[in-house]
Amino acid sequence: MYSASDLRKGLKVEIDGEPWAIMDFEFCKPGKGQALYRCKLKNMISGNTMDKTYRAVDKLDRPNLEEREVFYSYKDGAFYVFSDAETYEEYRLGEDMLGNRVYLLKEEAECKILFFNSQPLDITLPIFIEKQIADTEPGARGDTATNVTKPAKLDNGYEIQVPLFVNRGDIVRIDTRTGEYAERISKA
Amino acid sequence: MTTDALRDFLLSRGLREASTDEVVSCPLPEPYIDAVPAPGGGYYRTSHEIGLKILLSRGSGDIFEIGHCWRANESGRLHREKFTMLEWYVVGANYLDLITFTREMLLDVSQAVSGASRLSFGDSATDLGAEWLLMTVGEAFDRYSRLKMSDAVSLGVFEEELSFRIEPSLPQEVPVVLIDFPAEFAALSKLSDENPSLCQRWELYIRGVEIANAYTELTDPLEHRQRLAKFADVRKGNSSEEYKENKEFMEAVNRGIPHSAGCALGVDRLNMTLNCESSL
Repeated sequence: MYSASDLRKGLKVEIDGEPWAIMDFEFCKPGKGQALYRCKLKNMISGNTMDKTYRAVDKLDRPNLEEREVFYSYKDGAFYVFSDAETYEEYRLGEDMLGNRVYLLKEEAECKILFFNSQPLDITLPIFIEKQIADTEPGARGDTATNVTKPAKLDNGYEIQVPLFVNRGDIVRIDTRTGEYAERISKA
Repeated sequence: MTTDALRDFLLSRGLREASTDEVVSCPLPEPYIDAVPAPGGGYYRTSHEIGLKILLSRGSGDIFEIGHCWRANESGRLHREKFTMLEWYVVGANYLDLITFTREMLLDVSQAVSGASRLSFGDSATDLGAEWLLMTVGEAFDRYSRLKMSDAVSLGVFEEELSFRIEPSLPQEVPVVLIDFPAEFAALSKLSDENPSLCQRWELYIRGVEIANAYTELTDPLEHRQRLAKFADVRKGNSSEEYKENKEFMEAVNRGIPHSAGCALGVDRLNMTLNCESSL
């Protein structure tokens, strides 16, 4: 159990059987009155947010959260299968949890899955992942402006914006947090 | 600098400076103020009230103290567990007399610290020299809350309404004094003579931040005992730490605290405001 005085930004609590993360936190205490702990919370399953104020006497449950190291194994129909790095137990995640990141998965990529009461809640990919450019128009010669980009496709069809100097067959590094091009690793 | 200017003003008005012990045998059982235990026994003081009221009962006359106080588990944009407090008492005065006194003091201090009474915060300003806005707490509820003050008290949401509806809505251009708190929030202030559901207490707000808290002080020993017993019950009901009776304080009450008005002012918050900042 947490008491209200434990509350702070970043803490995760359980409310009505669901995990919530404290996004914002403010301590208020009007003169001689009770302390008020004002929180902006985000539901870790649905992403919904809410404002809630707690008092010093309030108690909150501690959610049973566990993060496990896994690596990506293979795709099985609509599911993406990850293996536990320690036990080799397999976890099957749906596309809804991965979103666009399904295009950034690579076999053996070391990821982390966050579990709430043994249910996968979220997955974190390695920050950077390397992929080959399958298709892009050649950049115009002599155009060296650095902020000009063009579309490029990976072999799985995922499209990113790359600088003009990137060509078909180049290996680039992509930031999985934003899904955007980070740098070129090697030329074709 | 702020501390020096406060001291200069208070001495110029004939108040005597006290230096009471930072450690008390036990704090008063205020419902929502927790004390920090001192390593050698006892507790760090949560205000200067115990020490100064003992001196008042011994005939000190007008008196003040500036020094550190401690309140456990209070930490935030406007709170520090260890903070500097000015507390002063004027014998024979009532709470309304202290409004003028406080205004003159803050004008003096502001001149000394920043050379002006007008404080600029980005695109808005607060003029300490303008006429201060006096408003009863009841009026503030009528203006800024969806609840009447008495309903907020009975529903148990007085603090929420005050913190989240009223304080952020208070005018920023001038200091605001909220007067006549509900008797439930009287602490150790005298109840209002005309309406015993209110008490003789005010709070000064500058830009929605509570800076000072003043009372006409309670003097009646019987009422002291009743209030302190009620406070202790609230602490017990909330499973807060229970404090023993502070014997020295009760002796002072029985000896007789003179009719007086007292005010406590958060020096760190005042300093923050005079430096045109919005967090400690």
